Amino acid sequence: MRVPVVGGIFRFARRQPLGTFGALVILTLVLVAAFASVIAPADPLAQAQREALMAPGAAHLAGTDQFGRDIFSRLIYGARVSLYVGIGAVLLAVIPATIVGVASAFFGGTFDYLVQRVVDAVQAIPGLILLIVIMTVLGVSLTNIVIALALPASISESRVMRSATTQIANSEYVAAARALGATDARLMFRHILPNIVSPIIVVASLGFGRFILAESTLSFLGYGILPPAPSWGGMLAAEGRAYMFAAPWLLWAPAVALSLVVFGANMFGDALRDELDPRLRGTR
Amino acid sequence: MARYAARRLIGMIPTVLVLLFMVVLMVRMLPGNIVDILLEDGGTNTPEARAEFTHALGLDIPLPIQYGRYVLGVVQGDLGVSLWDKRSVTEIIAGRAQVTAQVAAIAIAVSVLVSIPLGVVSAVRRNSLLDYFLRSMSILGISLPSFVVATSIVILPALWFKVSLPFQYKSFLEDPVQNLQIVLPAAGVLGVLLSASIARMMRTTMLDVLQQDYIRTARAKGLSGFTVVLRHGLKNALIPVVTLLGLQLTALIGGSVITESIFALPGLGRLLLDSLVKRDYPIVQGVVVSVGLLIMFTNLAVDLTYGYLDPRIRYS
Repeated sequence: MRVPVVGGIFRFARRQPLGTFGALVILTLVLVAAFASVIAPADPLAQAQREALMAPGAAHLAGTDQFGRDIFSRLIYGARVSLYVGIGAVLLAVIPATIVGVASAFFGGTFDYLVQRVVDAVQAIPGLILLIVIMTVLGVSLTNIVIALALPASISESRVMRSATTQIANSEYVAAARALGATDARLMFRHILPNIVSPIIVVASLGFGRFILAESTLSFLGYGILPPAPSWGGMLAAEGRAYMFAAPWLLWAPAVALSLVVFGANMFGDALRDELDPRLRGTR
Repeated sequence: MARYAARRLIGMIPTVLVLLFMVVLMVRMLPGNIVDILLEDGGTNTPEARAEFTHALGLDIPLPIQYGRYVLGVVQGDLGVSLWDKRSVTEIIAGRAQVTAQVAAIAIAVSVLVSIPLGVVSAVRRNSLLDYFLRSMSILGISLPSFVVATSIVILPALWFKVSLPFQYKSFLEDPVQNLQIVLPAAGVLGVLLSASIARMMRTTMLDVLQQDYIRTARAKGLSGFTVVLRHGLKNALIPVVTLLGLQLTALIGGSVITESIFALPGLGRLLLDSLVKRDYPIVQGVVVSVGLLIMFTNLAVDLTYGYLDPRIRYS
């Protein structure tokens, strides 16, 4: 088993150099988040008024904010927030989206019609507006951000799963399995689900970057993670904007971290899509 | 064609009903006793004020009846009244929509001018260094948070040239120069960010078209490369891009929430944020409904223009 996996990685790296770069960025994010307490030179919440608003230098790699907190350490701990939001929202979006999409395509009829009208309605509202309104209803907290990000995505992404399922459900081998007396559950789990793994992975990987970006936008608009917790979007919004002239590094540091991770996730997702499901190419 | 359009319009009705239901349900799902919170905000906790707020939010009647009334109102163009200044929500939205529309129109123009040439060049010079560069740039454009780009546009000139944007919005008729000074940067940001995904789509469809037999025929009969790419290639490759342009309206209106808050533009996005802070829920509902309807109609219009662009498509 070991050889094909390694060979697969090498083939992917050769064919998708940008995607490999993206994968490395995500891997770095995971490692930084996992070992945040080891890597960070300082406590991300420790204040030191005498060291407030110091420019990047030897003592503080990325400078300090108005409370004298070490920006570099805050960035490192912020990786945890981004990772939590990204993975949490992907899981919470993709699993229901798959269930709804597969069921909608498989059962068809009135159920499918109603589900598709809900998908249409959700897709008619710009994502950010929907997010802000959902956050108002739920109230601001980290868990609620994950829910707010996942809820609309689980509805609208179900359409991708639905169209993938429709293709498989009409194939001859599904008809053959049905003729052999397979139950609906067996058809869905044994015959359809394994064949739509590619779109599931693609939706998940592209969603990861999108969710991290959306979390930072929410924090920027004041509907995201509450201070003093270090979130890249929150750092940009609160400290970054307030001191953008006096201490521009408060803006650049989280902006670079955020853009790099989202860029990496998009590159990786794009490459995966090219490798796994060429039919989806150019859909986003 | 007319019959197809009519059928599509009728087909839209259930979706609109679902949208309106979600909007009506939203106010009922707000945390805590919303009337108490409003009374606290308003500072007058009298039984009359309580009854008024309860009535204004439609909480004094059962959900189905409230929903029925809301649907009837929307059909007549009535989105209710603002909780605080009692003005008609439809009027408030119509006033703000002009600002958002001006920014959106310029943004779309910018994105078309930027993305289509880039996408075509990227496709014609496929896998060249230029192609790699343009593709990375467009993915970067998708990855950059628009609020970072917008904030940079506000602060960089101030930091480097000591020039700052005027943060006093004037309508175009009132003061065209000041209007454009603030609208153009905002529209430019949105336009450039939008062009990232359009350029990617343009590249993909152009590559597809350039492999078609009729392109080979055109080359074989000795047409110049320029004519082949533009007359035979671009014209056909543009069709799916038009669809994407229609879909981008959704992104533009979503993006307007960010740009309008950074550039202090009094448009729909700003209205939404302000109304949420003031808990003026009828306006929030009105914005969501009108944006949703606008997007649904735009998507329909895009589908209908398809027939003109591609004679192969026939509506039945």
